[in-house]
Amino acid sequence: MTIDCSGLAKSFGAHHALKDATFRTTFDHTLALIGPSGGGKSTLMRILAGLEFPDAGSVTVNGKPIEYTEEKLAVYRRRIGVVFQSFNLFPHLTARQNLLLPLENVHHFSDAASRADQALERFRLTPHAEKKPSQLSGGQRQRVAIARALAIDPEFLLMDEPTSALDPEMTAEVLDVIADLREAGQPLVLVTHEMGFARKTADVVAFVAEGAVAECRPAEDFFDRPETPGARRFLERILKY
Amino acid sequence: MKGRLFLDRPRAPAPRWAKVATFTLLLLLLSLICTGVLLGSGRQWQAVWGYRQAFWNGWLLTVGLSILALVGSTVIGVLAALAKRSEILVIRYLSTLYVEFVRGTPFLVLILLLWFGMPQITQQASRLLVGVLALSLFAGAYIAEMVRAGIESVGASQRESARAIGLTSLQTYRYVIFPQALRHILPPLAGQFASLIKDSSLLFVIGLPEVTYTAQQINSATYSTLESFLPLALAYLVLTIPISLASKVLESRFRFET
Repeated sequence: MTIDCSGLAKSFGAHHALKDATFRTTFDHTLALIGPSGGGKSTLMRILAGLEFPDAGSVTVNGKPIEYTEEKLAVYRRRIGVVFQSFNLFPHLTARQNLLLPLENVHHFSDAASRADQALERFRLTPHAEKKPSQLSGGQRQRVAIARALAIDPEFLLMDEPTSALDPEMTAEVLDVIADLREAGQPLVLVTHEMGFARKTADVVAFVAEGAVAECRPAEDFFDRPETPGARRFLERILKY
Repeated sequence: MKGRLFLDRPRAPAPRWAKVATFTLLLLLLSLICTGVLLGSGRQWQAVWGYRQAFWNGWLLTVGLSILALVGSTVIGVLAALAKRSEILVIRYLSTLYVEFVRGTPFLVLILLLWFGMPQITQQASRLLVGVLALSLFAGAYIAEMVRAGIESVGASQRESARAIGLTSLQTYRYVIFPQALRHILPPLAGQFASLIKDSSLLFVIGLPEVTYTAQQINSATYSTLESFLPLALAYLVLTIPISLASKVLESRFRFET
């Protein structure tokens, strides 16, 4: 998978979330976006997910430039899967209905029901299919969200801090699922605070700080020999505890 | 009695015997009063009974009127709420103007305005049309605010989720926002519907022969005030109590935790 961003900028009022994010990377499975809070990694992910319009710059994914108009983005978003931090399931629908909603109403699959059941089965959610999100644990909810994003056969999966709202045990549960996805060859881009996990799972790491991509290199290289002082400071602080 | 009248903390559950005893005592007392009033000397139930067909017709008109206005006000309310969220300024301002105008005006004034104003525009006005229109416009403004608040109670993360999985805005309203908003809208909406039925009594001022108007006619004809107006109160209660019961049932059906 190839992602090519150039000169991305995005402001929210007076706050410049992204100033000039430029990077180009090719990876087999997983790109991890890491960096300090408020550095712009979530904004970058949201632009990649077609949920935010950049003020300037361009994005090309797998050779196809993303056109930032609402109509084109609506089509683009159908090809990808997005998993958020939390609260992204529909609370009035059961787990199975959460999966069926896009399968039936957006993608109009004739085999929507069997696709939903397969996805639930894959993530060991069959016993929970008829439960509403409030009846599921945090880890189970996030697995339903992942199942919903994958049931449509997306080109790739984007995950915005999928474990940051979970306690350690559930974090492990979700990280296991993500590691399995990698084994299954599902391309994914993920924003994460789990450095150990990023190091083990990611092929490439993009270090996002102060509204720019400071480094974008293979994970091993980056964690062993960070090049920029910002990345060095960030890793030192994190590894201290 | 060591029970306090007002409490600043959750009250302890009352023992069962106390509930039963209090309820029985109150029932007994009220029955005594009612029997005294209803069957006391000089009550002319016979005279009023002769007008039962007129009363029944009036009640049917109140029911019909309320059903029409219920549909009308819901349509107006939902449209006004959506208009208030529109990106087009004119539509947004018009909706705000309507809601604020109606909410700031007494219902009686609105009825008079429509009754005396409409013939000047349309040459003629039927009592029924003015009645339904006045009720729909009046309740619609309140419903608009309830629907708007309900829509806004559905978090931004839900809209974003809907956008991310590729739903169109229409689908987002249909599958995500309205089902969740309904939970917040339903209880006040039921109250509004009950109000609407009660408010329809004010339409007697334009001579619409609904049940209040009829009861008044019966009173004038028989000089039996209590005998005319006590059944009137009951006639409204049999409509409003089922609504509040239905709203409780619906509320529990739509309940889910977020």
